[in-house]
Amino acid sequence: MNRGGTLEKIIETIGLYKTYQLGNLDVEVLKDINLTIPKGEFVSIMGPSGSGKSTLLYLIGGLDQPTSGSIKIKGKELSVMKDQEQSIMRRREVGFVFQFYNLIPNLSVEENTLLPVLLDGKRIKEYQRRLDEILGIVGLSDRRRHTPRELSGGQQQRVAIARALINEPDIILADEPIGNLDSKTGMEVMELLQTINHEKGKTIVQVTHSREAAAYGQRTIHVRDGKVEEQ
Amino acid sequence: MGIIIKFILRNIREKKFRTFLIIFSITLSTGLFFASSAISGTLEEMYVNRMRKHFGSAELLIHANEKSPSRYLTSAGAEAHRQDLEYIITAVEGGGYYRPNRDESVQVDLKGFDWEDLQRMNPVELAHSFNPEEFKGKKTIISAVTAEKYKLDLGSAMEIEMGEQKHRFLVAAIAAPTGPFQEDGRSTTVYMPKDTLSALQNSRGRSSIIFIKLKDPHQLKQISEKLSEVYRRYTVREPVTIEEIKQYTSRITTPFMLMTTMVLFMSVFIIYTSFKVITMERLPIIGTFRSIGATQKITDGVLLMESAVYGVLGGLLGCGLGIGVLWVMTYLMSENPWTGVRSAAQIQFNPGQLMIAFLMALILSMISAMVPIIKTSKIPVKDVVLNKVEIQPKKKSKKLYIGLLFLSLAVLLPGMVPREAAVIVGSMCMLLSAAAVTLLIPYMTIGFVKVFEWVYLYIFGNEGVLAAKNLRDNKSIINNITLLSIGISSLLMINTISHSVVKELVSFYREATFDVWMWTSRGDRNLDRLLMTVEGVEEVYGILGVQNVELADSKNKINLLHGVDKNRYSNYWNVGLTREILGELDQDRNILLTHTLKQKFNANKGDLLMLETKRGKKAYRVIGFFNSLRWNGNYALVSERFLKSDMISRYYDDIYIKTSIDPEKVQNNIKKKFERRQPWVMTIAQMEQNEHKSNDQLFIILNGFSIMAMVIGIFGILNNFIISFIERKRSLAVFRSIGMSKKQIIKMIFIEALTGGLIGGIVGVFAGVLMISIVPYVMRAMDTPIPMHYSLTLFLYALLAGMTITIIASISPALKSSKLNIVEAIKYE
Repeated sequence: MNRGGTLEKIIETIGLYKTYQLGNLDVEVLKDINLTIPKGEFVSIMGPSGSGKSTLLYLIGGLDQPTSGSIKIKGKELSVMKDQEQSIMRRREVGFVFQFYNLIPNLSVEENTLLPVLLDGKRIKEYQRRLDEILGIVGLSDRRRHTPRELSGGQQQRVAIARALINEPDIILADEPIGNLDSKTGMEVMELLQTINHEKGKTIVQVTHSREAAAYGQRTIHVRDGKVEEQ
Repeated sequence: MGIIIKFILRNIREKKFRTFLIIFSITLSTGLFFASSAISGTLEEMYVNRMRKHFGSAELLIHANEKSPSRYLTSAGAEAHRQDLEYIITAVEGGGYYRPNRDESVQVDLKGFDWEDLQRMNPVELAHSFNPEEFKGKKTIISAVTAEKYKLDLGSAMEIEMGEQKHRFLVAAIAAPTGPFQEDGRSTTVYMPKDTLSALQNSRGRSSIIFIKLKDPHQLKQISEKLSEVYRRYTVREPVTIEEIKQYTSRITTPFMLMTTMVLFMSVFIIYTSFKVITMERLPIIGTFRSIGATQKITDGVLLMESAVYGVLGGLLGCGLGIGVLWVMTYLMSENPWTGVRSAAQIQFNPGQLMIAFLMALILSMISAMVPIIKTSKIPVKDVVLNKVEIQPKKKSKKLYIGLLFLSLAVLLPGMVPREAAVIVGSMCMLLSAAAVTLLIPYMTIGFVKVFEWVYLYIFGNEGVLAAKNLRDNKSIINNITLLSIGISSLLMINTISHSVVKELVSFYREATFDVWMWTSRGDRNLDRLLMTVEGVEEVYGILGVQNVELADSKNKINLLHGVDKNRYSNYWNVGLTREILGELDQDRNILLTHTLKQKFNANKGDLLMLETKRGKKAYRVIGFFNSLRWNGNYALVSERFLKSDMISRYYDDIYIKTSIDPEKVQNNIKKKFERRQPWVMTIAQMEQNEHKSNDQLFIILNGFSIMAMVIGIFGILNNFIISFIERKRSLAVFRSIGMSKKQIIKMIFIEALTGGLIGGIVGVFAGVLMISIVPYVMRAMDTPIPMHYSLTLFLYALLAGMTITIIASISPALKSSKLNIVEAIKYE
């Protein structure tokens, strides 16, 4: 909340369109998306397959460019940012969690977690305490030297969450974070995300198919045929 | 079946670069394999052809020797075996001088033959009509080259001096420079009717040489023995022995075969790694095949057929390339570097050799593909069908142990095996070194990465650290390191050998402290005196020598034994022998051996060597050793006075001359002064230059081979970078998603390439040094004992080359990585 008492907008999309070309056909994946997500909110985006929900998440994270419209992260327009600025934004302001974890297989838990720090040109030695804390939060202190191949799916997703948190970004974008996990492990991961949201005040936007997972959020946005149907 | 073949061909067509790479490496390996295996036949042919000038199709020669009662002999003894012989041809040979003008005199080899005999034994090619009936009396046949050189034509007169007499001949025929008239750049041959030469030499109808061809060549040994019985006091011999030919060809073919083996090794590696990727790519399709009822045999068969297609295509192209390479090799080897004459060599190969090369290509392709195919076939059907194949990192300790075992064998074996086995074992050890390096590279890379991680942090920052970390498990980059190191080690080995040979040759000629070297027959004090009257000659030293001195009770022999004058030898040869040791040599029957002979005879100071001399067996005491490459180190020194008495040696043919003016001028002065004697005179500088030339021939081809190995390596590296990019698309997209900028991606990929190149270069140098350390054993066994000289600059170039190759090869993947569609790569890869 800002000084005026209104909620501080951390993510804002205005008139967002995304069109893909499929052969000679133009396929409109997103149509006129207008969203505002305040700081500290845990939002779930739901919708059937192909509705455009993941595309929306990737646009917000700067992994893809919209055909038209505007995306603002912490008030800064994404479309005017150069690659370098967008990369820095992804390192410092946003943390990604993917359905298939997307860890680097030949790096250890520690090294995977510290990747954003390394990319930011910082000394990892200075991040040892933070690393310990985060690995403690995600419950992987005793697995720090293992490689992803030696971990279960749930553990790998925890590493992905740890990696998303290491640079203390304000936003965590999660694309079907429990889509590849069994229900028990999935719920554990959701609880972890909820804890992070509550205790660390991180804004979390997750894309999910699961109602149970969506229920961990404070608000659910439904997307169908590229449009926001209800919030 | 048709559908399956279509499927295979489509697969091959789809991956154009990979197909090109596999076929290219099989083609090159096959081509080089064929050329290396066929070159020995071509070289044998070249050698025998050069020799055939003198004996045509004859298989046995009978002629006089030092013990013979006369220079001449009759064919009566051979006639007794007529039933076993295709021909017995008698001829008269001699020498004379042809005077083209007043100032010039040319030494000529005179050969007296009956025309029909000559045509039967060594056909003459004439460019004009010729009536053999007219080949009578004082007529000659000369080569077109001689005719052109001395402006002679049909019917021209030739004045030839034989002994004190001058004879006038008419040119009856001019022959093409083939067969008996082949050019060797040294001698001029003049043929004349046998009766004429016989009459001029007063041989009374007898001949100086008998040429024999057998009806059944398999009986050569028996007939030779029988004729030796008949002609006891004459020499009965084969014109060229198989041993002579093999000795001549093996020195050249062994290094070719060795390089070919390295190229084959790289090809196996490329095909093996490519098929690892192919089998993984095909897993979903194999799954589909299995789910509709295909057996494991069928799916394995499909993959094997694919490798067979590569083998067939590569084999066919390789045979074509091989013929081309053989042609180039033959062309390069056909020039005699000492005379500059190029012999009319034709490439020699038979369909069997082509077939073997083709089969080798097929087997090479199928065997290299077999291991990945078998591994894939072991994956449970359910996992294949569901495409749920997880590649679990295996415990690699087995590879480590095998690698270390190979390495130890490669280091230890060459020094342990007997000399006779050194060529084969040494060659095998070089291959073992390559195999050891291939197996150990993943472990070495881990070690290197640890160092680089630390160093790069300070040089390249965190991207450097990441790049180093990425190398740990990146199979494509490890494959690149392997290809690079094998390519670099092969190049280093060849270049070091050639560099060492050149260096040794230079040092050999540097050992000579005189300026002009002269060879002539029957040199004596009188000749020395005459030489001293030549303008520019300052000092002369004629040295007594005997060739091929046998050691009693052993098969060994000393190829050149010199009898030295204790006061003069060290003034002409700087081989580290002091006047004191030469003085000691002079005191008794003492002998100084080269270090090569020391090893060969396993001799120690104080040992007695029993030499076969003309006065029977004589014991010489070994009093020391010295270094010299004369006669490839098969060289020893005794005192002049003992050589004179034991070998009954009166004349010398080696004369060393010191000059006070330009040696080339002195060379010309000597030639002019001794034009009748026709000595062979060369300056030391010319000899050095000619040696360079003769080695260049071999090393140009060998370098060609090693460059081919490097080219295959470079293509392999390019392919690996492409595979690596495809495999890593997802990882690279992950890096981008967590904030890696395009610049950082490019930087990281370049650092990875640089590091791969650096490790490849370092390991290549290490493997190269290992292989080079084996070379002296092989060279010694081939009677060319040359110590290896390591060139630091060459090693540095190897490192730089490694880095340059990988950096250039990584440009395309680096740019592609920066343009990667992150979402597509993350979601759909």
